[in-house]
Amino acid sequence: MTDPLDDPLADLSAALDVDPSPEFAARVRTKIAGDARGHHWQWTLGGLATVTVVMLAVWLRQPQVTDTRDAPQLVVSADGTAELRLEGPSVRLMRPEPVAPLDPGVNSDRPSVGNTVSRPEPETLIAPDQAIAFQRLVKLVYEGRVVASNSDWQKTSSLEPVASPAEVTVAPVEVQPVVVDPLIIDTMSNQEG
Amino acid sequence: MNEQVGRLAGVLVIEPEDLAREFEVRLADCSKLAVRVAYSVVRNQPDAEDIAQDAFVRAYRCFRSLRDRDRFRAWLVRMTWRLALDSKRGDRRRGAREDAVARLAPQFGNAERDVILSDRAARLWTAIDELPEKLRLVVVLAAIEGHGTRDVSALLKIPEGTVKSRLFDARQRLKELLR
Repeated sequence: MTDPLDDPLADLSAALDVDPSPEFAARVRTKIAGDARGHHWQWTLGGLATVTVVMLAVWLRQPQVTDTRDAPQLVVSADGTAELRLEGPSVRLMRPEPVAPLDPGVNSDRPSVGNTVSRPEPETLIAPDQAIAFQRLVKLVYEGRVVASNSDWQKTSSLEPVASPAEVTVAPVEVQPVVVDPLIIDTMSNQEG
Repeated sequence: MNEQVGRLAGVLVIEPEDLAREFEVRLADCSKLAVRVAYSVVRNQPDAEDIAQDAFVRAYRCFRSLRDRDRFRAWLVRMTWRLALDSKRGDRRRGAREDAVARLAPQFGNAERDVILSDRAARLWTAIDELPEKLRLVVVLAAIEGHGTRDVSALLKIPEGTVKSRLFDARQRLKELLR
């Protein structure tokens, strides 16, 4: 063996004297075959991704139409008007107009002036399922198919006068006479004064 | 004119079987070179073989433009060197590499001599590692298969004079590092 100080390349050449294993070429062929299959999949996936991107681009370029009719909403005004907005023609539920109180001494044919004052009408939005339930309930009430069966509810809704309360008898309280002794005050002598 | 057209058509129309056959020839011809170049960096035979195999797979992808033997060898050396450096930077098998350095020394049955040789090999690799990359590659290629300056010049596609000056510089630095 040579001295590395004389020729380091000789030592390096000996250190690099390695040969590939016998199965080296076979492994290269296997890797090449796997690489070709991998490329086939890459092309397939690339094609699918391209098609997806093109379809997305076409879809995004179409004008967006916001259709709110799918979500039914019940709009309740302060004056008692409830409007159910559904797909198709909307359903408007109207409460009967309240009868104006008669003003004594005034012709009853003329409406009261006070009823013409306009008020702000705040709207309340409720959930679609509640709106549908409410719509069904109103429809059944109008058709007369809903009968109240709760007796308590009937009692309170019959507007019958509530029974007068029972009379309360109070027993007389006996009061003992209070006896107060007369107050005695001694007269003061001249010396004390 | 017809002769030129026929030759051009022969170059352009390459049968896949011909390409596969030519690649097999290159594989048999350059396996040792690729493995040794990779080994000079990672110093571990399984890793070196993996890297050389990857280099051959990449070479196969663009083999149509690498059919010339010298061109193929030069491309393969550069690709293997680059892949080996990348692998070494990953430093995934540091322990295996140090084991490989310990295995560099031949076994003579003499424990004291084995220790000396192992230490000498470790010092040599440490010195090689400290060389700049340009000098290191020239030294390694010159140490493989007895390549001369002309061979190294063809592999690295640099002038022969540059190879000579780099080899000289590398020898001087190695001597200083091993002193």
